[in-house]
Amino acid sequence: MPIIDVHVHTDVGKSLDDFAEQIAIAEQFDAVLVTYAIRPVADASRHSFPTAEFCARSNDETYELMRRYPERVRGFCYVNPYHADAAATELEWRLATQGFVGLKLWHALPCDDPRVDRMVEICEHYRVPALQHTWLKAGGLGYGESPPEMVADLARRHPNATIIAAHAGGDYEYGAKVFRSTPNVLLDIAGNECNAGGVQILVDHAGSERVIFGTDMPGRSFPSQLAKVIGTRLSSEDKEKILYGNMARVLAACKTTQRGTAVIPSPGGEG
Amino acid sequence: MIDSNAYVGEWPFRRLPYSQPDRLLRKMDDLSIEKAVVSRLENVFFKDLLVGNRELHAIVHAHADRFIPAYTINPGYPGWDEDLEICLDELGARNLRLHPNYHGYELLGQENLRLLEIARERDLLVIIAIGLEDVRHHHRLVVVPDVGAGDIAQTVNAFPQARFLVAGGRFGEVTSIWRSVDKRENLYVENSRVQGPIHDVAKLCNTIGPDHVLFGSNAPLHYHESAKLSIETETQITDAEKQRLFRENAARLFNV
Ligand SMILES: [Zn+2]
Ligand SMILES: [Zn+2]
Repeated sequence: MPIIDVHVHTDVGKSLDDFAEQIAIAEQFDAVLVTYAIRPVADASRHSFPTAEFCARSNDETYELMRRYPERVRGFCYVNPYHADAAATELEWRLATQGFVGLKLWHALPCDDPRVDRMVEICEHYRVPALQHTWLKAGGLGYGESPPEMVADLARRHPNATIIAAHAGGDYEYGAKVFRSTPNVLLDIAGNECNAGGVQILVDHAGSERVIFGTDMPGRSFPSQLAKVIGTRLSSEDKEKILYGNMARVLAACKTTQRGTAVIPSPGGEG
Repeated sequence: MIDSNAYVGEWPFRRLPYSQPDRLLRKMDDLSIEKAVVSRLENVFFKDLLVGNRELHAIVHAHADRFIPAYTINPGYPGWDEDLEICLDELGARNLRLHPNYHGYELLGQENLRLLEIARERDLLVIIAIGLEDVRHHHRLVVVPDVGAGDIAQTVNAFPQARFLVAGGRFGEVTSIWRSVDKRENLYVENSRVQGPIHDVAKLCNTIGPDHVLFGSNAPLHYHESAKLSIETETQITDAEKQRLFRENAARLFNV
């Protein structure tokens, strides 16, 4: 069964060449990696509030990986919406000319900021998803981090956009309830520990059409994240949707895919 | 395959699909896991641990070919030493489990040092549970951070002759403990909560060595598949090394 991993970081080592290690894993599991750089690979610090230039250099590296591995890599563009015009220009340019297929938002700005709305409107125009990091934590949120409720509100303001709630909100039980009534939100299961019953909770409340597979490599391993789906007692159709079909449909609808890297393969007519 | 780190029982915060012995055994059958080292999950929160330990004894007794018991002791609670005697004499305990964070005592406190002295004398395996679930998702009234890696390293250093299995540690925690311990012959780790970075199992084998890493599931809190698949699909270790992780190291440690 082919897999789409919607949550892969580039910062694997000291050079972009080290990404070959993640490509080998993608080949082992027959996966396509949706990849984004939140920092250039040689930049040791993790800037959560990057300059526009820093984002552009990060996206250059994502683009380089898209070109090196067209069969295995799809790129999401990373911006800091605080730099409103520069961020909009960067996003449009990556989508329109380089075949990027989505937007990655981390925690430069909380997503109730109107500057985030502007980014999502661009995504809507190109029919690409916007992935927003969100992680409810018992110890409190980090600076600029968006709680799941804020991501749900963003999705309500843009009912025609596809919003991906990263980590399914962090706490699956909480995320399942928050996102139950926002049909345009997809729940990315990346990054959390492999809790028994976790994916089942998401499927029970949001439906198997809205749960999508992600790993958060290289910080997380591929098998620990895959086990969340494999370990759950779901029909093979539901597992296929989560691991591949749901995200394949999103990527196939992107208006940018024809211009850049090859469109996603579509075994069995799916996608 | 021997699962070196599992529990039976219920959890206060959510229903677990494999909490009961029959369900756990069926899951083990599906995954070809022959035996599991189990403790009573309720003993994380019980005050009178002898209740949970007696229940564990009954469960294990009914499935002696499948379960290896690890009895939970809380050296911060009165009468723990008498309870320990009962576990040793009546229940035949060979393995003990400690939850210093949930039970709220210092690993290097007087009572625990006394416990570890007994463990060393009687050659009991001491399982130190670093953590059970990602602290970020704990219930807001019960936020229990992982046991400090430094405390565990100091404890192991203080008892080089005692045998320790560090359970439920994440990659950074177990590698930091390993690096901070001087005499490591009797120190073992398991991989249930080592869920990254990529090639974590190979990295554990490189740092710690394939003779001191065991397959462990943290079931029923986690799916067995995470730890199992992580070893099975690791391309950077040999099949012989995988056999040591899956079975041989545990067979030696638990005298199977
Ligand atoms: Zn994130
Ligand atoms: Zn991430």
